[in-house]
Amino acid sequence: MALELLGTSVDRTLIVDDQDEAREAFAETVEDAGLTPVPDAGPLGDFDAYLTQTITSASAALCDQFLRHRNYARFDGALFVKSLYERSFPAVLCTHYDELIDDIRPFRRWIPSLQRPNELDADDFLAGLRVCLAEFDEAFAPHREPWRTQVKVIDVREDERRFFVEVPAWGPDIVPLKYVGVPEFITSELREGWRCRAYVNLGAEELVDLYVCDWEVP
Amino acid sequence: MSEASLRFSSEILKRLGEELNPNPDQGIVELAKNAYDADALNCEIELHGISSAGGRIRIADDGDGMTLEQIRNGFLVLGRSGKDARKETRLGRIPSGSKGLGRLAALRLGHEVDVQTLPLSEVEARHALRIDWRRFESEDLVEDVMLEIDTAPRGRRKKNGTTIELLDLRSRMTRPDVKRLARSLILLADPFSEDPSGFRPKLRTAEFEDLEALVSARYFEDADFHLIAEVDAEGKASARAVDWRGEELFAGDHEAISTGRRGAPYALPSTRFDLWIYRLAREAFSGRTATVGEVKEWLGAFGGVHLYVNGLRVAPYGNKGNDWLEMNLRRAASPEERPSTNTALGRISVSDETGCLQQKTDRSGLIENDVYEDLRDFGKETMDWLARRRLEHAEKRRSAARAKTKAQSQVSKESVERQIEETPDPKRRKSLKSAFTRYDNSRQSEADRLRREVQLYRTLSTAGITAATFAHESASNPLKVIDQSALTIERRAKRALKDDYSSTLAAAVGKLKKAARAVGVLASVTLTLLDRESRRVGRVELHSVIRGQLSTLKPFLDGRDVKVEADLASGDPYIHGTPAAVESIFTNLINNALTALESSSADQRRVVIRTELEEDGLVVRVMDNGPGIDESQISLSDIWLPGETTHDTGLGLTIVRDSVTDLGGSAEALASGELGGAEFVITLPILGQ
Repeated sequence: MALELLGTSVDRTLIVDDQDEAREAFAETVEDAGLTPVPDAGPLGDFDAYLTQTITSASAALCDQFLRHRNYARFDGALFVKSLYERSFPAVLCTHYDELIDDIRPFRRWIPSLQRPNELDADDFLAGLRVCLAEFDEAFAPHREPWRTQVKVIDVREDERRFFVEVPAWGPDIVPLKYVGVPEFITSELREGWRCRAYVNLGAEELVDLYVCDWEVP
Repeated sequence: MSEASLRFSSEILKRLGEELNPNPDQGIVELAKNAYDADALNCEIELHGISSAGGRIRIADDGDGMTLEQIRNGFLVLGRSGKDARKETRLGRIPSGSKGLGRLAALRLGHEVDVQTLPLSEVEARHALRIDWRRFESEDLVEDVMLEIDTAPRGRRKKNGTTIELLDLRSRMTRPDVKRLARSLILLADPFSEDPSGFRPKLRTAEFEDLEALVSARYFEDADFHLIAEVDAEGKASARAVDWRGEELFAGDHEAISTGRRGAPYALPSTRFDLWIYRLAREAFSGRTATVGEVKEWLGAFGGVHLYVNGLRVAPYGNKGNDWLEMNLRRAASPEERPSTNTALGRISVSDETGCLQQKTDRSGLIENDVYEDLRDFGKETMDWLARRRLEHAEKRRSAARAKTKAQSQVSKESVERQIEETPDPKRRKSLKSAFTRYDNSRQSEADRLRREVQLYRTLSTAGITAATFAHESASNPLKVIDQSALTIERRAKRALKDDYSSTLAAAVGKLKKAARAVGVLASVTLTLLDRESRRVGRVELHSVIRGQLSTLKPFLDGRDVKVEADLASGDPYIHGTPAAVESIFTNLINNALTALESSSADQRRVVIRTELEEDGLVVRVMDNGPGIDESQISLSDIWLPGETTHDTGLGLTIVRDSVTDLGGSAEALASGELGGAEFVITLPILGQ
């Protein structure tokens, strides 16, 4: 049941979720999208080996964020989807993310499609894959395109390994960030009022979609 | 048939060099590692004119130098993982096993490189090599550029070793670059070990000298705990913690440490973990030679757990901002008896003779294979073990203190009774006795009440923790299945039933989706109330907390057809405290009103929250149109007592009173207020508006 999406043939779709029933439920959505679901019952083993296995055995993936509740995986879905993206492999992260967005944001630049389970229908899934494939060709949707801009540090909580920034070109909202993925040459300089440059998707309409990446020393 | 071979464009040098290892410090550290592999004891790095492009870096070591053969088939070969990489050197070192890409990055920092080497095995020879990278830029392929190695007798300089000069630097090095390089070099060869014959790279800069002085301060004796853990050849862990005198406090075996892995061995070569933990309180340092400030500065520069494989540090583990063992995260989650990277310094040393820990090509750390995962688990589980032992110890201390207080109280009571018995006047004695008995009874009843209150708080905390756990589970698991299945039913039913769908299944599927959304909202409300952020002390804007609470509780209020009106005074009055305290007040008052409204016969159930700015502060009235407080059942003063109300936990109003008192305010209840039901009047002193 291969589909041609933006010139790429997509068929076998890996379903990564530590819960049997959830995998089955996602499989039905993938099937209705016209693709072949490949639910993985785990355990997923070594991260790098699993990435390689995914890329060689499937052409897309649908993944949950929480994978550690059981002895299923030793990594989170966001890291997995991000790593697939870096290998030009389309994947959708599907989770109730409202409470988790601070954990997901460090990887958001490489997660074009983040969807809630109650909003992910077959067409939405295909649309998510298309967004990924378009980004692999540097074609960004307006709300995803990164722009070099100034970032101002508002507060630093070293003990919690978090900090808060404002992106003046985006809006007045305070953006909570974790140290995860932020280079050491930035985290070692962080202090209230400090400014530097980074790439931010200034077209993001909501805070949940915002990412900050490619930090630069001023 | 014709033959062909793969060839490399000259541009590959740029790809593999500066693009793969963009930080100059990393490349220079690779050259220092080469010196270590060559059995050097000293390696000096000098920076000249680096504040602008065109500067020069000189790296000189006193190692074994390189023979012509070693230059040709080692130094100039890139990307090879040598078969002899694990063979011990003359000094018994296991080579760091560089693939040469970091070296390439370093060598390409300048437009030219000059290499002078005096090999140990050729006592009179001196080899010189000059690479001009500009020549590669004008050629298509790497092999089109021939390099010349000039061999000549040694001149005045007789000592073995290699000197590399990076000339005409492509770009400047900034102060943060130099600072980072100094720190990387200081930490490269375990400066915390006591081996005086060890490898000691030196950077000739002021930054390095400051750090060198700091690292040599060695405040290990000021640590409150020293954790020493090891993994043996069978993969079994053992650990012990000693105090500052070296006396053992706790000891644990593999079963006690590796609780998360059910006793399975660690797939690790011989590994040792040392962690020095400090209590950075001023009183803890009285009578010591070091001050808290000095130890803080030392920990600030070097704190965290560094990783050493075969004697050399592997970056970035233990760098500032790299908390690979999640010390700070775990401390934030459970602060008692946990070290952070600011209060502890440690090293994990691995003797990796088989090369099971491999560095990533871009030198951004180790490849995250199963061995690495086990290494990290070992570090984390050992610290978890120590935290458990320390907590157990702290609990014993608390129990002993409680028992001591109780015993002291009994002794004091008996002493007072004895004094009363000694009163000569019998009438006076009787009256004193009676007064003391009354006092003792009321004290006892106060103590009983506090015990009940503590028990209730504990019960509610447990309920809260369980609710939070359930909230996560419900959001991530069953709800997801319900959501996805509802969408599948809708999709497939529309396809199968076509126009009949809307008259047969649409309503049922709609209800299913709506109910799933409601469950999701309830789960997120629980998590919102437990948000750690709201327990931080700071400026709290009262009106925004009230609005936030009403928004959080909206699903509950809508579900009960209760209309809530917020009639807030103009301005933004604020206090210094925690949002959690203010949330506790309003959540409990609203919950209280919701319970009261269950007995209401009013057509429109109403709750009004009104704020007024007065001289004393902000007066907040929370009123409802329920049945009010029945004073024949409970007095207005008793409603604040724990367990005294007739519904729910009986703790809500006690929490309101306690939170208001903590904020320096007062709380009052009216049995029948403006809307006919109960009215609570809270006065909070404010800092401003």
